[in-house]
Amino acid sequence: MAEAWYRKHPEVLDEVRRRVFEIQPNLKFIDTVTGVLFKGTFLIQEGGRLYEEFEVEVGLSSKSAVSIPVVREVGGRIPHMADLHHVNPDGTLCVVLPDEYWYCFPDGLHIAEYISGPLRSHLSGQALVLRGEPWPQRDWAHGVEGQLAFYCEVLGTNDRQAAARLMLMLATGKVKGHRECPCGSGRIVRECHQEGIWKASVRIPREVVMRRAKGLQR
Amino acid sequence: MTDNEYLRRVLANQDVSDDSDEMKDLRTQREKVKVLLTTEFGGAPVLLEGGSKAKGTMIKESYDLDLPYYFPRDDNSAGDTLKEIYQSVEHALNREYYVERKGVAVRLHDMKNTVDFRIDVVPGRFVNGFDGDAFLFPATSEKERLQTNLDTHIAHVRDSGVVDAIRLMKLWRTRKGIALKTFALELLTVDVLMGFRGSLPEQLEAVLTEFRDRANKLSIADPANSGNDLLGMLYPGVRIRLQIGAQDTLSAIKAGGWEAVFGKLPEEDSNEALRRISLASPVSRPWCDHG
Repeated sequence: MAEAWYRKHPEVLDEVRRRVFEIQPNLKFIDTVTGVLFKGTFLIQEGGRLYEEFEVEVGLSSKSAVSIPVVREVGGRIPHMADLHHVNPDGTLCVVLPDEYWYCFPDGLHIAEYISGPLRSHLSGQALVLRGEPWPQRDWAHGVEGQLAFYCEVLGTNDRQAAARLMLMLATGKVKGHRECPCGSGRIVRECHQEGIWKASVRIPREVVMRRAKGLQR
Repeated sequence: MTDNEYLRRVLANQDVSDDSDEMKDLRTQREKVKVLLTTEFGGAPVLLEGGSKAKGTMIKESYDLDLPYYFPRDDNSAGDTLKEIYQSVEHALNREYYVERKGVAVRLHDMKNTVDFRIDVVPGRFVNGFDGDAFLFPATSEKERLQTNLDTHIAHVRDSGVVDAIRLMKLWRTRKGIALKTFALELLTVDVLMGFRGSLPEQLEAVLTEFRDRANKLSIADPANSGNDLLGMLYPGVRIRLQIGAQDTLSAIKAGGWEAVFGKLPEEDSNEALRRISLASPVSRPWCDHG
């Protein structure tokens, strides 16, 4: 097994700790044999006004400093209800759709940027749902349905079959300009949805698409 | 909160949304004006929409609706000359409104002149067809006509990339009580920021610095017609007010930040703040990896 980036590059980890402390000073750094994480009170505040707080654990991936971290709410405030709160049975928060994340941030985000960006937004949404409000940002459907909806947006269509064809194309890595566009228009990619498809193919890691795409093939 | 976030919130508080009371009132009056003018002059003249609404620079503290009302070139239903058109339109509106002459426009008030409806009707005649070029009658000057183009004016401001800076400069001018016409302020702001790259606070500081340091050299040109002389809008009194106002503001920023200029923001509803924060990240739609 490859050595974790934070063991290999402790200076990078020091920089991560410093930046996380700057934006969320109540998150304490914890180093265990199984990995490293930040744990403590996540404050949603602005201009000196505190709006909400959650007890969280943010586990860093060992693969890379910009991989999507695993986040748990550990204060017992957010019920483990997938439909309403988007919490997995193991308590991890479903913060982002990886396909969308990589599409928007092809280089990934520094952990501090992830905490002050997507995670802060997600927890603000959770706070509103706890208050009986809807998710301000529409939530994706669970599993492959959410992924298909995302790829429908990439193609600018409501056709799930077209989105499935795009997923398969990305999963096989056979994205060619002269191939028939997955949208079903009959035109070739180059003359159709080239830009969106090309962006998806170079930005979204294949393994992210592949897991579900296999199921679609069946 | 960063300076940029603060200024964005100042702007958000100045939004005039389509379903706001202000816009509902403007729309009601617009429809009334349309009926009044169509009854009088028929369907050939065109009632357009210009001003800050079309340019995207409307602010709550100082807004109005410009309604250019242009006759086709060969339509003489309101008169042969621009002056006659202006007077005919003025007369027609006067049946329902108290009208005030305001440059090339007619400002509408209620009959008792106690309510300003914030609507300017701009009578004119198309130069050719309906391509945007039009002749206007400058009622309060000695000239016989002005040639201009509404679409060019709108595009010049709307597509400048500095609409937010313009809105904040309008707010600044309004609160300082500087009698600089909106059109002139828009042109000056676009001109100063042409090619300038910087955040919103940096943009404002650049414009204010220009006002402070070069007030006597400021000049403007009508993007639709370089022959129109707009320098009259920058008369010496206005230049002095711009210079002093900018100097005070830049000192205030240095001493107390932007809050010293635009004041404390009203307390935001907690749910509203969470909603805003929740939507701040481009990737924030939750998704569960099962099902």
